[in-house]
Amino acid sequence: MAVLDKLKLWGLKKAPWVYHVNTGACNNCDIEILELLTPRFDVERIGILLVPSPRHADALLVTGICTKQARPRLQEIYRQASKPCLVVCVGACACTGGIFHDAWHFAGPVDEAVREVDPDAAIIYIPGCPPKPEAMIAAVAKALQDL
Amino acid sequence: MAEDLESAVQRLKDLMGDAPVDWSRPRPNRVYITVGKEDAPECARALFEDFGARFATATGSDVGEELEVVYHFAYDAVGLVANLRLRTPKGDPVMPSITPLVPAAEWIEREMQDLVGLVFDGHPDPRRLILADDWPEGVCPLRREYRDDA
Amino acid sequence: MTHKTLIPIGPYHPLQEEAEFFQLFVEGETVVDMDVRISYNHRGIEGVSTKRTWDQVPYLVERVCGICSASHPLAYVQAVEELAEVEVPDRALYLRTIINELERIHSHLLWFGLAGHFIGYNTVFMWAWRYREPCLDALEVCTGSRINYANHTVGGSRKDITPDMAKYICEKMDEIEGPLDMLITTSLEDPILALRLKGVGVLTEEDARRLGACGPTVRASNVPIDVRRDDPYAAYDRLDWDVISCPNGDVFDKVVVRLLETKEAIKIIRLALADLPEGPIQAKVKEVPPGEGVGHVEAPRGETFHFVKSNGGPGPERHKIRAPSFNNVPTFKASCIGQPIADVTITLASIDPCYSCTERMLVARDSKTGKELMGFSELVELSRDKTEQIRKQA
Repeated sequence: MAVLDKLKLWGLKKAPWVYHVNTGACNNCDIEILELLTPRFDVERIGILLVPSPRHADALLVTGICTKQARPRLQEIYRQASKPCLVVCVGACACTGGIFHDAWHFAGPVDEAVREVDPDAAIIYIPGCPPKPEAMIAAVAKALQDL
Repeated sequence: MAEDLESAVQRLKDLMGDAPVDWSRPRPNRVYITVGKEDAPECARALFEDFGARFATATGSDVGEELEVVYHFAYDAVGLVANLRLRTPKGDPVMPSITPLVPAAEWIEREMQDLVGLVFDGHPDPRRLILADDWPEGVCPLRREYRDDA
Repeated sequence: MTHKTLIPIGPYHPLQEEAEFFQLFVEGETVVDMDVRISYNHRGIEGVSTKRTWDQVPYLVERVCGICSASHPLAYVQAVEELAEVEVPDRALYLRTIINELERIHSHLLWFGLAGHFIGYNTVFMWAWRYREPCLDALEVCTGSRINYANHTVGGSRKDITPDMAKYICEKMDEIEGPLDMLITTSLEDPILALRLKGVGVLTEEDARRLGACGPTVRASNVPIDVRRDDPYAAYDRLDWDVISCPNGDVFDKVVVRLLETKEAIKIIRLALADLPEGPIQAKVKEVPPGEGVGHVEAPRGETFHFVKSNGGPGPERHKIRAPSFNNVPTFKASCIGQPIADVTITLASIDPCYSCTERMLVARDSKTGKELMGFSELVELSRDKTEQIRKQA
């Protein structure tokens, strides 16, 4: 691996900056993600920071079923994100479509939409409806270890 | 003296006049009034302005040979929900819009256009509201044909 | 310590070319028009509902909006109970009241935190969300989950509240009450907040009625409607509580209404627990005959309205779901036009639209050229700068 790539990976593992993308969710996962930033869980102390642009992101936290309207936007956001970029599917909807898998506006699941742009995308799945904040932290920590 | 449920229902009946082709009251505080579609705007206006009810929402459905709209009005003072029902044959999905008279209906009429394929004649802004930009025109997910194919 | 411009709250508007969700047209510093596109979050739940059975639907509709996770199922089961003429046991009515008031507390505190964030009071955000936690703990203890409680069933409640759970809930209410009182006092007395929020984003009484809006959005505009009192359900007509309303219709009044409602919710929960009748929590429901039913409840954001049609089959033939934001978001046009752009984010937030609807794509465009001037994060910055200026002048 080139030096720059190693540096990027080290940066990602040390302090992952995350960009949150809602592709058609009920808010539960989104609220639980925000919970991570509040004093009880406080993930900023382990370096996780929410950023306002995908270009600064090491990871995309994706919630929602990937609606027909959101699909091209999600793909564009993935393209814009600086690589390497980890796609984190948060919640049952992002993993499989969940309870909405047969809804008329369903255009996912998220991993299919992302793989259409990049077949080698690194994707992790955090199931749950919604996953508890502890589960999210554990999943991200585990993923960073394995990277 | 504050109006009670019975006097409110009676007042509503008087306001609706001859328009209703059907009137049902399955519970004391629920009234279902069926009118011809041409009478819908005036009845809706009367419910909103004269009766003083609040426009809550509307339900558009495919009921087989016809398309149906039920406008739901809530008269909060006595907890009454008055439902105004109208139908149109599927082959003629045009209904007069009540939005010019009841502004609160603007979005829900647009939604019913998208999902049920109704056309609200006279609607001030009949653009697509809820389906994706690339959703095919003319495909209405709440139509029975769509459900049966899906 | 550098000012963190990367402070959270949702996805900022990422891109330029797509159809925006909220578009504001501005002339100079003033908003002159607004447009909204709401298809991003549309999933097609009404269609999914018709493919489920009567008792599966509550699990579906509690995911319409995560924050109003108790209101949608309650409205739905009430609609079905109405059409099937089911009599719900008294104890279940009280359980429903307790769960829904706990939801109101967590939702209003969530909102209060977000509102604080938009005007630059980040401590408020942290405090408000910190004090949501005891409420979520109480919900987890009595339903098994912090969110998505799955407690309302057709004919009753799924899980009962034991005396230990009731004690725990009371402890949590005690834990929240002190900080809540502090938040209320500081908000009402803070001169900066008054200068920042009074007269901002006014929704007149006339517009509130004309546009069919509901909830705290209109109770702050002198329209004291509340489904809990107007068309009582659950145990609300058996408990002594007040509808909160304010006269001016500005953002400040909306803050007051929500904070005082949170306090009132704690009172209702205590009354309900003290008065909890003995007995079963689930009525036997053999079948759902053909018919129609209306179920509406006062969710934290306003009236949630469900209309259900049955043809005697295993599930709904037609299920109309109307969340309060659907009627409230259009009022943004009335309360935002003529306002300076710095006030846009807080005005929109004051309507309390479902969070995932607001965060996405609020964009300001020049009304003559249509050119995009600023995105959501810039609008939030503008709002916070205005607060700073007011603070300096005061």
